[in-house]
Amino acid sequence: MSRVILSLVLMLPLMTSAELHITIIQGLDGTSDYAQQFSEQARRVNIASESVTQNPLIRYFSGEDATRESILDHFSQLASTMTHEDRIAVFLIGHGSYDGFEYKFNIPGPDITGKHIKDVMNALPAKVQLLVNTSSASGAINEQLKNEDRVVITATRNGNERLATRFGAYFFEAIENSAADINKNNAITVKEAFDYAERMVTDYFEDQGQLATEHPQLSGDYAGQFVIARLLRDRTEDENPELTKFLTERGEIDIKIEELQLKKGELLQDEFLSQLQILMIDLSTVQEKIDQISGENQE
Amino acid sequence: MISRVSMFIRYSTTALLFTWVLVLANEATARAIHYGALSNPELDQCDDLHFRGERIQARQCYRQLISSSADMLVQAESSWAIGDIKNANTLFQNAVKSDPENALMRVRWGELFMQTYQYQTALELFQEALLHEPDNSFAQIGAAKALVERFESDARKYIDQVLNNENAAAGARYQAFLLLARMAMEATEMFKAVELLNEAETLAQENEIPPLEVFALFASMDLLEGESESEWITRALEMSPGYGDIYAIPGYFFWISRRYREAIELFSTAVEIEPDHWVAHMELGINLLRDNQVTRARQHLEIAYGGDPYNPKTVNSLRLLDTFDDYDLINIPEVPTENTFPRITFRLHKDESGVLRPYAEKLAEQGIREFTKRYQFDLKEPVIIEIYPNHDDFVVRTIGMPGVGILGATFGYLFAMDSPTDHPDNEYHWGTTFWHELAHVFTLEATDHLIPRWYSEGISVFEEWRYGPIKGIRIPVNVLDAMADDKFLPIAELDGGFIRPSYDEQVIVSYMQAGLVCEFVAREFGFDKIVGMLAEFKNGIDTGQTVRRVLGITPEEFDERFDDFIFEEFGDLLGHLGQWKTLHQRAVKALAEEKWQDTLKAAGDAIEIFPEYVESDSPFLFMARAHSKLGDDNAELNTLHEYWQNGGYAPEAIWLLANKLYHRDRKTEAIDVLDSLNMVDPFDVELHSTLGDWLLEEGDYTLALTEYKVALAMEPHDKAAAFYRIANANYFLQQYDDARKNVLSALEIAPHYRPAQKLLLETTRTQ
Repeated sequence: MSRVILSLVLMLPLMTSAELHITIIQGLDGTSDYAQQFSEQARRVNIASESVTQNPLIRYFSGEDATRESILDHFSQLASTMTHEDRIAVFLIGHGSYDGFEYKFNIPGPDITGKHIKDVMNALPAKVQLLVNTSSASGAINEQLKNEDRVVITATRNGNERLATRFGAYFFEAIENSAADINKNNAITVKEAFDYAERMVTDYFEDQGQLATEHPQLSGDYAGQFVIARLLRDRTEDENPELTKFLTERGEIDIKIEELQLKKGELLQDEFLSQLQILMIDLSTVQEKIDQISGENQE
Repeated sequence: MISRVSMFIRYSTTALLFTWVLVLANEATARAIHYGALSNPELDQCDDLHFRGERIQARQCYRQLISSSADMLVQAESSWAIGDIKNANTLFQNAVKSDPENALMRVRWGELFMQTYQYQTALELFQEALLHEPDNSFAQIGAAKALVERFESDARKYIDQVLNNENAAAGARYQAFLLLARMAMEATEMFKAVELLNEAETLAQENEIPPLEVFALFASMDLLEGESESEWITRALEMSPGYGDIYAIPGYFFWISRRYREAIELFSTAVEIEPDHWVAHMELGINLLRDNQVTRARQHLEIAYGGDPYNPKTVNSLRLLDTFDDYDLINIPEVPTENTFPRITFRLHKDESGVLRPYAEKLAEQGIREFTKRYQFDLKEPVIIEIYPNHDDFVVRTIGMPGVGILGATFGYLFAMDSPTDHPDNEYHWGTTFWHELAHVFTLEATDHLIPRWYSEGISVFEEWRYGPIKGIRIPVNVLDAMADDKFLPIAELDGGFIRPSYDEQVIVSYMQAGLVCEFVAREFGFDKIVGMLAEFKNGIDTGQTVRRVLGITPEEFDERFDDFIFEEFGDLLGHLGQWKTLHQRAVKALAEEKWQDTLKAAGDAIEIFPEYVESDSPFLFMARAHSKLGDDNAELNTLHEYWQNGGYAPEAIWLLANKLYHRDRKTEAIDVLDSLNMVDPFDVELHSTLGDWLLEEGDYTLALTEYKVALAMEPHDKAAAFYRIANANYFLQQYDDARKNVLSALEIAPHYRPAQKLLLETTRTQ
């Protein structure tokens, strides 16, 4: 987690200057129960997306609109407009299948195959990419999509886990749940949402006394930095110079904390705690000032 | 009782010939004695060498037979004799294929399976043999032995067939008498056992069968009656100085009488005089484990394994021992004062000790304090308490084999039990089991383990009802049915309901009867008589005499008065039980059909008849649901409250009740209700966080801290919050150093966690 904080700070300029494009695809449901579940998940991710990017950059496919043609066309357009610095997040909500050779994400008309997904993602110029596929059998696409700059999340370990999954419900629950916000910074990263959902899936099967029929997977280097939801409004754009000064100071302390955490193994516990305490008191004091200026008292 | 499995096998190999015993003991997988079932001159020749102790020559003889004999049965027996079990099995298989009608081959093949503890296959072979030769007495006795190992009552049928057949082979009849004598002794029917052993002895004399096992059983009786020596031991050792069973067989009877330390002594002597008595090593190992002598136990189990790797009890026990590294050993107090031992030692799984310890420790301390006073007995040694997250591990720890549905077992100062983690249905009230087993520690030790089973169980059940975590007498419906059918036993015979149940539910019926007997004695004669009876049992007095001496009435009078008590206490309920069942079914149906008024009526009427019924399908829960659906929040709360007060503990209902109380500002009650869930489902982070928060609000910082620490021990997803909560409780307790450390732990995970930042500043400023 500590590495996450440092990287977040270092990447701030990149993250703020580049655009985040988000595509949400809600596939076929099959039953009214799933229709309700998938719609709810899509609703949550749509809301969360609005907290991290601008509305025009969010594209949501569902129902009859979610055809292969329209989806591929959308990605084709994206590929021609986005830049290398931009980021892309793709969420697939629905059912998938795998026949031992080919993965398919079920949509009205011809399905999207694993190859389509791979081609689309490879064609997008965005260096940092995220694909979240919560469908059954979604693990079938893991290998073909792996890439250190691409965060890939699937609900299953492989294509053989074919039962409808629970992972999606928990993942999209996480993006609006402060319980998933492990570092309490009011932002949910992909990693935090994944950890939350993975744990809930494990708990579910343990509670039921059943063998788990799904094993969520995560790959890619930027899961800890890729914020997919903000629980509170980001105040970094505030124009108050005093606030800006304290925010800068807070960022500097964050970096020192990160550096100290990296050295933890080299220090005696007491020494580490002593240094940590000094930095945490500084950080808390600065935060207190930020709160006073901004009139916030967030908890 | 499962320990009979391997003991019997071992014992069944000891009777035929004196020399057999001496020589067979040296073989890792000793060939089963055929008791005259076989008659083959070539094989007899090798066997003679074997009997005389000329082992090298005997092995050569057997080897030669394997290559020279054309008889596949002889080859199989020879392979078995030299310890080549695999080849023996193949040869028996081929022999049976070549002569499918031959019953003898199947009998001997079955004995091979008996020797390797595969009783079902052995039974099938004996039964196949009987299809071909219905009067084959060796097949009959073989089937009986296999069924005894599997605890099936059909064994008696086969034994009777042998004894009712005048033409049955002497070796088979001899084994039948021994089997019956052993069963009689297990049921403590000693007079009957003596008669049977006399029959066996006569048969042995008439047929030149050495009566060593008869001697061992007679010796067992002497020692169980308190004799320090037995002439039978002397006679057996004169006949065969290396006959370890003369001690191991009594050892078996001591352990099934729960006199584990005497059993250890006897098994130890058995392996001293017969060092390769693998079963005795195994039993010694398991009994040492019951006495918490883990290192010595492992030594003997490893010796047993080296000699007989087929014994499942040995293998299971060794595997269990391998897992002991995964357990925390926790002494209370952690640092004993000079010249004192810890009062309590816990063996708790590392994944669970942080959660279970506070509650187990509290229960243990409270129990020891109360039991010491109530039963006027001071513990002489620490109590060892083991809680197993895997039920089969617990059962293996108890009896060496998995697959038995028990929840706890006490061996004296040590008791072991299931953890709630292996009971995801949440119907297991682990706190009650804990209290029950701890009571056994006192009743066993206060009587030097001479207490009859019914009384020990009775006091434990009585303790649950009167003083346990959920108080009140709760009798299961099937036991009420048994009561109505007049199935309670006379007090003098109550032990039989535990030891040799005659119908499926008799054990649980006997538990309840024993508890009610104690309740009756305490109410009618006074609690001091409960303690007085313990003292009599310590002197080795039987139940009938104890009743006479302590209560001053005959057992028959006792039974009459107890019947009156039952009628008085339960007569009304028993008279309306049928009506209650109808109402209960009606409530279930109304609930399913969402007819809420009908649910209220049926459930309410059912509760009026039998308010103590608080199982998972309790009418209280139906009624609460109906009130909820009808929007009557107060009635729902009151119903749930009554359910809880009657001992109900379904977690969902308890959570609901606790929250309702809390939101009505009845916080103290809410805390009590929620806290009771710790005895059912303590592996719930939310339970500890919520309870901690409520306790903190009420100013009980110490208990709040405990709950928060338990929450952290469960490795919650939100560790930062867990550390923060602990730090907060530390702060209120003015434990500022701890508060600082814990809040720093929270901030190390979540540097921007505002409440933690504020607490850090407050702590720093306070200091």
